[in-house]
This record gives sequence, C-alpha cells and structure tokens, in this order.
Amino acid sequence: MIIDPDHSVIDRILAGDQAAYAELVNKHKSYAFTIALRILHTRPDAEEAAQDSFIKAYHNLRSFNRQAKFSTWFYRIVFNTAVSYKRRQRQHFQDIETTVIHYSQEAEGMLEKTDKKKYIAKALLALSEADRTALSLFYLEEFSMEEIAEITGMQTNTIKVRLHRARLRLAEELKTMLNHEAITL
Amino acid sequence: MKTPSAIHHKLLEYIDGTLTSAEVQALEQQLKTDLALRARLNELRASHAALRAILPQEQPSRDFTLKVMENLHHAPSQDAAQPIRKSILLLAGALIAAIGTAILMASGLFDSVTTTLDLNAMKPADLVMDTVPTLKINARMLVNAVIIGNIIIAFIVLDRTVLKPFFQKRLSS
Repeated sequence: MIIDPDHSVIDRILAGDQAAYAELVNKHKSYAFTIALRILHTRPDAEEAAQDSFIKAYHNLRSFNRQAKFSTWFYRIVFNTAVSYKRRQRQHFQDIETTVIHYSQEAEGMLEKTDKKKYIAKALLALSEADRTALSLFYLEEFSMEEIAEITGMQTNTIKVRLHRARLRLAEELKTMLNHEAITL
Repeated sequence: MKTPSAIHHKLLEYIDGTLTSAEVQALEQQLKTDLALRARLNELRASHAALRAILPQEQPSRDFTLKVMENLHHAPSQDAAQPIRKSILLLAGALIAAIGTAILMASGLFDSVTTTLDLNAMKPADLVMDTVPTLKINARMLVNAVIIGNIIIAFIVLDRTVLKPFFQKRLSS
C-alpha cells in the first residue's frame, strides 16, 4: 500500500469530520484548476469543472481504494470532468474551427507579454488537443509519465510517445516560426 | 510527425534526467563528435526551458474552497451519462437496422430487384465516345453493403461505450 499523507485526512472525513475536506481542497485546488484550464481554456468553465470534480470526489471517497495516491485518483476525476465539459462546450457553443480561434485569442491575450511567449502559444496551437493536454500535465511537474497515463486513462508507452512527439513537434514549430532565432532567444 | 526515433527519445530523456549513468556517458560521448546531434539537443533544451516558463500552475478564485464546501452535499453533475446513453441507443439502432435488413434479405425480397443505369441517355453531345457502358445495379449487393456498414458501426460503438470503459474501470480498480 502507498504511503500518502492524504489518506489520514480521508480517514477523518470518512469518520464524519466534513470540514477536513477543506484541507484536501486547499492542497489540490491549484493543480485541479490548472488541469481543467488546460483542457477548457476559459477560467469560468475551468473553475466550475474543478469544483464539480471536488464534489464528485467527495461523494465517491468511500470507493477510493488507496492502491494509488489520492492525487492521481482525484486528478483523473478532474481530467474526465473537464473532458465532459469540453464536449458540452463544443455541443452548445462552438464547432471545432471557432474553438481553435477562441483558444488562439485567449492564449495570445494571455501570453503576448513577450514575443517568445507568443511564438510558443502559436506552436502549441499546432499540436493536437490530446498532445497539448499531455504536454500541459507533464510541465506541471507534479506527475510522472505513469501518473499522467493513469490520469488520462492511456498506456504509459502511449503517453511517452505522445509527449516526446509533442515536444519534438514544438521544437520544430518554434524553429520554423522563428527561423532558427527563437531557439536562442 | 511520426513516432520519434530512438535517438530523439534518448535526447529528451537526457534533458529530463531519466537516463541511467551508463546511457548518459554513451550519449555524451556521441554528442562530443556529432555536431548535428548537439544542435538538436540545444533546440530541444531551449523549447523545454520555454515550456517550463510558459506553462505555470494557475490559481483559482479566492473563494474556491468556500464554494466547494458550500456545495458538498449537492449532487455532482451527471454530464458524462448523457453521451453513454446516446451511444447505447446508437448501438441498439445499428443492430436493429442490421438485423432487420438481414431478415428482409433472407426472405428474398431483394433477389429480383435489379436496375440498369443507362448513361447513354445522359451523355453530353460533345463526348468523343460513341457509347458509354451501362451499369447494372443489384439491390442485394447494395443491401449487403448497408448491413456490413451497420455491423462495423455497431462494433465501433460497442468498443467505445461498453468494452473500453469496462476494461478501464477494471484496470483502475
């Protein structure tokens, strides 16, 4: 069994100390929100998806079997919830084309502080949605490849290939975009 | 881009620090003599550093925890159930269509239904060819194609909505 400090907090919650759940929320809210934001690209949707994930996790806390870290189990809920929200976003508001434009505007608005950031944001847009998500999770630096695989429900090897492919593609995009100069910025 | 080559995997693992010391030594030896490889490593390092800087952890709103705690006893949204229900309906529809058509086919309904498409009647006046071939269309063949198409759809939907979630659930538990 894994030693995870979150397990003792879960014991308290399951024993009836509901307020202890706030400790888990405070500890994991930033990553949960970041994961949701990387998938949904808008802060209000990401906030709603992250909150919903905490509520889902609370209702399913008894079914958490402690074979893995609480964070891995929970971030998988966040990932799946955000993906469902994304599907709903697409159904209700936009087709794929406008989603890409929307992301571009948001990403550029957020990143236009420097040219370098702008170029990277553009290069990121050239990646597939799945590759971009894997890359985002990897660069949060909280997760190993195995954990990213568990969170996204993919095989570790698939994640490894996907990540490496995305990183190479990004380097290529940057090189092309900046005519070799961005690499040395 | 295709699957990364072995040397690209090595370079990225070198950057991430996940190579064994023997692998590091071998790669560093190679880097001393291979200028192109060294240039590639530098490109990857630069984009790695840029990504680390650009993909930071985000912070939710200040009252995030409060909102979660206030809504803890509300039922979580069931948005994932809707597509599954739709997919199961699609699976049932595809199977019913395939079975229904197969029953009609077995009854011999389409055996004698054939038609000939005479392209000569639609031939443009300036066409060089004197006659164009006529096409014989057999309803039995068309219906067979429809049945096969339905069965393929049913297999795909079965895989995505029933088998994959089932095995993923087993794997995670």
